Amino acid sequence: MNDQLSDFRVICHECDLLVTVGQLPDGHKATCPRCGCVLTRSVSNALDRMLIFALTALICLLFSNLFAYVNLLVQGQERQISLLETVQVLFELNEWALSAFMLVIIIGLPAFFATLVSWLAIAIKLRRVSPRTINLMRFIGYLRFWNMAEIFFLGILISMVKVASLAHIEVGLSFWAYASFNIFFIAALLHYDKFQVALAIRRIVNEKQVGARAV
Amino acid sequence: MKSRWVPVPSESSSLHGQHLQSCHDCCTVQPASNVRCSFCEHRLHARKHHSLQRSWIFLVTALILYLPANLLPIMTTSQMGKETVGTIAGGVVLLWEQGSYMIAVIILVASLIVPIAKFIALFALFLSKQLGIYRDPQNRIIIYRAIEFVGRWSMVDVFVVAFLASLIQMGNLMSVYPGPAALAFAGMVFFSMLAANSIDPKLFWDDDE
Repeated sequence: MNDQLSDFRVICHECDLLVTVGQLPDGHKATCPRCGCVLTRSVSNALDRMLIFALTALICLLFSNLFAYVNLLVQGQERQISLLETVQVLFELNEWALSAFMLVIIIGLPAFFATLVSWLAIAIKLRRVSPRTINLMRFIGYLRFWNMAEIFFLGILISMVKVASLAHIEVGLSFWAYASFNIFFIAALLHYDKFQVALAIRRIVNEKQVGARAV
Repeated sequence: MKSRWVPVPSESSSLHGQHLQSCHDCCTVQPASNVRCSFCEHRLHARKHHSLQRSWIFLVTALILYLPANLLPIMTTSQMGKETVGTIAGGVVLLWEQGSYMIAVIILVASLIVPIAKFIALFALFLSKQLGIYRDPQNRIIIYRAIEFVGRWSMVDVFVVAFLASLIQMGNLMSVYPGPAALAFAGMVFFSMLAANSIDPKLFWDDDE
């Protein structure tokens, strides 16, 4: 289907220049000679790393949902909230749209992304891929575009500084779990290279076809 | 990281209208005459359809939402029975007066300066493309990348409001409620992200203007 050479050609997604990337050594990246955008990065064991980061992120996200992430103390009154309570309180205030938005952005989308990326990595490792696997990649691409978990985390930090002048505020166990989740999640995002993943899938499908023909 | 690339000499020009294209999803390089990808069978298009028209619509929607986002209250604070209604600009002024300069600047940049800069940059790109002026693709691509990168970060203001409203619910003592502007602002960021995403950067390199 694809000759070996065509696997190493990339058309720049920003300026449409055809570039021969060649077999990239680990730790190298290919940039477009015309517009300078990064075409692909080659990282050693990128798939394993991506899988591990995504699974770790998923576990951290799970833990961050179990406990409170901030404690607020005002004049002897204390209030603790967890991530899901953030969503719940907004819902009870009849801000259903804001509540749904928060549920999707802070928990739903990252969990979905990490699950799908892990699934994809495992499928490639087990060589159980077909041209249809590209559909999964496409969906992962959409999720990646709308990911805003780290912005929510920045929002928490800003709010905490804001509140600190009015009341006593403490971070809870889940705050650290959510912070670690963000770190691992970004690491997983950075290891997802569309070209490399697609290349791996195309190679396996190609090899399977050649194998089938030989039999 | 070192970069390694070897351009193909014979085919190093823009491929639009030429004989090759690549699948957006699986990156397979294939003849431009293919309607569906030879590998994953997705529909192919050399350029995003109606890229500029779609982007215009999203931009105008974002601009319309920008008005209520700034005019309506974004947050209502009730403290000891006293209610204070705050807009975005009002919040920035208040924070500055309280001495939280850092946060005041972050909110000012994220919710006022960045959206306006983004609107202007998008307009500049559209005008440059549609009138065929200031054609240097290198400049256009820098603006495009800046818009793409910065878009999501404006959402921080919505998150601050949502977080504060869910945390500060202490009855009469102190309570915070989100205002209608929060949703309008989220919508504004949403549509401006769509506007940036609808632009096909490959258009900047086409010289059919």
